[in-house]
Amino acid sequence: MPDRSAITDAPHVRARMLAVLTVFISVTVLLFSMVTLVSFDRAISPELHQRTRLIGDIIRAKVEQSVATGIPVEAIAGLDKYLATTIGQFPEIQHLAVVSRRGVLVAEAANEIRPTLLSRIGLDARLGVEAATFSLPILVRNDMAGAVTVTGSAQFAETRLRNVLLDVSVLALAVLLAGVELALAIAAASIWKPLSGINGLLTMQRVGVYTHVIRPAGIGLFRRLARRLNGYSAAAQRGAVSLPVLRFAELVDIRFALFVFVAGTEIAASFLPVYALDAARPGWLTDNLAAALPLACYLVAVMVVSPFGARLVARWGASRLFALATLPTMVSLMIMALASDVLWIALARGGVGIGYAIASISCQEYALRSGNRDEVSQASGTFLAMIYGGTFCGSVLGGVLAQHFGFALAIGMGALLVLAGGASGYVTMTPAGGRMTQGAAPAQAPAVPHARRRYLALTIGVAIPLNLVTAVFVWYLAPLQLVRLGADTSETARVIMLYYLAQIMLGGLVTRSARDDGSRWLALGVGALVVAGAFIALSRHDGIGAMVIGTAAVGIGHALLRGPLLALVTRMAQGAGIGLSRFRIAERLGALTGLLLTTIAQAQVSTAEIVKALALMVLMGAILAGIVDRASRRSGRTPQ
Amino acid sequence: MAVFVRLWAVAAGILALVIAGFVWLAILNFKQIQITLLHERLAVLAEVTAVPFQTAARIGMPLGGVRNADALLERARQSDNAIVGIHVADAAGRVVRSTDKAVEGTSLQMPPGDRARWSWLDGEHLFSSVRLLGSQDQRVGSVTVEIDRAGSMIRTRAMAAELLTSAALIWAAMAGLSGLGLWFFLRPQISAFRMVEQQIEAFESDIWRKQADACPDPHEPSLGTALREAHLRFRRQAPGHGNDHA
Repeated sequence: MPDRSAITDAPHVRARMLAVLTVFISVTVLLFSMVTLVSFDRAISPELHQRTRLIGDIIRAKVEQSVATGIPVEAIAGLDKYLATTIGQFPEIQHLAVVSRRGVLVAEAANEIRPTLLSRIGLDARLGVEAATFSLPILVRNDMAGAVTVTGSAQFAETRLRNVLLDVSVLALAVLLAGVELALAIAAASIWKPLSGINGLLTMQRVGVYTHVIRPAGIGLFRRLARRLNGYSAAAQRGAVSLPVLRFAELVDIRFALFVFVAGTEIAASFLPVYALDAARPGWLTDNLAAALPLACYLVAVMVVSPFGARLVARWGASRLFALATLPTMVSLMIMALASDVLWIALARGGVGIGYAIASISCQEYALRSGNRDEVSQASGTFLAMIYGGTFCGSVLGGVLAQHFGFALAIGMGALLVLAGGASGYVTMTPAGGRMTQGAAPAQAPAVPHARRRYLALTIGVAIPLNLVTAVFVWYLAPLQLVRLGADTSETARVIMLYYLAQIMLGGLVTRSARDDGSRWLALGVGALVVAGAFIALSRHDGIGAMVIGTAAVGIGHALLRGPLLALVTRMAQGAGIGLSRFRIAERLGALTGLLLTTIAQAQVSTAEIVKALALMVLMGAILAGIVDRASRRSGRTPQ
Repeated sequence: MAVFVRLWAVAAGILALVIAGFVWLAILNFKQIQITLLHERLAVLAEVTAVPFQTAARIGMPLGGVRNADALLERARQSDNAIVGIHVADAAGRVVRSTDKAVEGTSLQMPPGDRARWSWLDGEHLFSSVRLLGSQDQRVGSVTVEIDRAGSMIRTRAMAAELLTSAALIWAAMAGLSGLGLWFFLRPQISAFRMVEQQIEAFESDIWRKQADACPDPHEPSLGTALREAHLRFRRQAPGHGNDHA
């Protein structure tokens, strides 16, 4: 069998492209920020100059008033205070002083300004971006009464540009991830898949089976070869009616489509509660409930649709179902963008949830179907990576767009992304030849003692707290708290995205390293500790810095929890003979309950208390699950 | 080669998108900052100019009755060439005094509420206003500075042009270097593809030269071998076909 693994090695290509592009994008951003800083400073200096002139005029007028009545400059009362008030209006001025005719300092005031990054690394003089000092003479009739000296600071440009730089960095990350997926999709469409088709047809034709043809696709070379082989089949069948097309379903088919689709549905992930809070609402809905309502609707929608997912895929086929999910999702997103009433927003979010559930279930089934048995873990790993990558990309893009163009346009962009994802999936996913089997049959699972009990322990102790924390903290509390602390929309998005970034960066690593139960439970324990610790720290400290570290820490904790949890639960479920759909329902139900309880509790209890309660729940849950598991293992007396 | 070219194209596209995003955000931010700075500066100017009017309003005098009002306003206007006019308005927004006589009697924006400063844009003009308070701390009027933004807009465009030029240069350099980087790091994949390409082309050229009938070596599992086996099998089954290069 011709070796195709060297070429169609998607994970390797992805890793290398990612590495190369990260380096080059970082260098580009660094270079361009220098350019922008210099250019910006040059462009803003006329305006700053005008401001300096104005300060000079104001102080001069004040001094002239007094000097004109005969008081010498040195003796003017209240000059210090006057300078202090004036400098307060101009935060970019470092130092303001009035000197007498002989150069003696009469009064001064200063602003607290930290040294700029450029001055610290010594580049500021070289780039021409240093602070400037002006001296404005005070003339009273025909006398030089003194002078006003004004010292500006280059900090101004740098501070203003910092936000631009942060926005660009996160956008660059999102573009990087999406771009690499696009590269893989293009490579697959023009080279990998046509080559698979050719290899597949050759396998048949080598032994004289001429029952199929393939679709000529990809680069010219492959297309010509495909036509030649098709010619063999056609000639061998001697004028039979058109032959069936041989098709392969591969994991790479769903990557780009799912990534972009999820980016579209999760475009509002970082600002949904804020958006809902600002909308009109009926009188009986409290603030907190209104902010949580769309999230609750989403959870309900996903909970309701998930059990029917497998049946839907069996009936319609994964690729067709994915394409069908596109239109209702787009419509829901448009409604969400245009709605001004929170009830409509919540309903629309529910609609988006239905679309998302259907699309992700189809992709999951497609992924499981496309590989062979031992590639199952790779399939689900890829699937999760696309979900988190898409969510990350969507939340970042949504935040930056919403900041500059408003919520409606950002959500509208989400609809466009969903369309792009659906179209891409329609093109790349191959429809199933026959009916799908009802999910992978639970392979002969090794006997697991007390599987049912341990499955329940894991669900209640670890899985439900995990989803609850995601819904309550990441979707609900964090965005609202950040806005309360004064962060704008893109700043909020930058903090929330840390959670998803942690999942993306650590998720694969954790799943690959934790292969046996011992290390999985270790990861669970450490993850729970990290999350609980983050919450306790957050309950004590307030401020954006605390939120940044807290969100990132929760993300790291969850990254440690998710993969091992899924692996353990799957094993227990298989051993107990239960399907995973009930597990998913339990997770979502727990999250929903937690969300509603939080909104009710917020009326009585402070956010810090709620966060402490979350920490307690996560910790207790993990400990309980651990105890039950240990006890069951011991009493089952089977070596692990 | 085809693998490399496609990946390189996507890489160049990604870099272009990142730089374009940077330029766009920088310009957007710059415009915002310009307007804010202008508004702040003019508000300070307006507050300084408003002092005599504020004094009059505090003791209940009508705004139009301030002595030397025209000279006061004109001096403030001369502090910056771009300032088109300075207007004093009453509580309803009607202009009672202005450096531009044509404006007197017209109406200016007066937002509801209690803000000390506000501003708005009108085409190429920026208006920055501060409020005047009466003896009971109620709003009795405003002093507004109107400035022509053409100069600052030109500066924005100049900065945009500067940024775009550097962006293009940096992009060209980085795209080229990234091609080198990809070439270096994806060598196994590129050479594997080249091998496949060579085998297919060898097979095709053998068919042209009618040399594809030789028995392939079954111990060499490659695409070329598979192609030849398929070709042979077909020739045996359907003699007279297969040697055409359709």
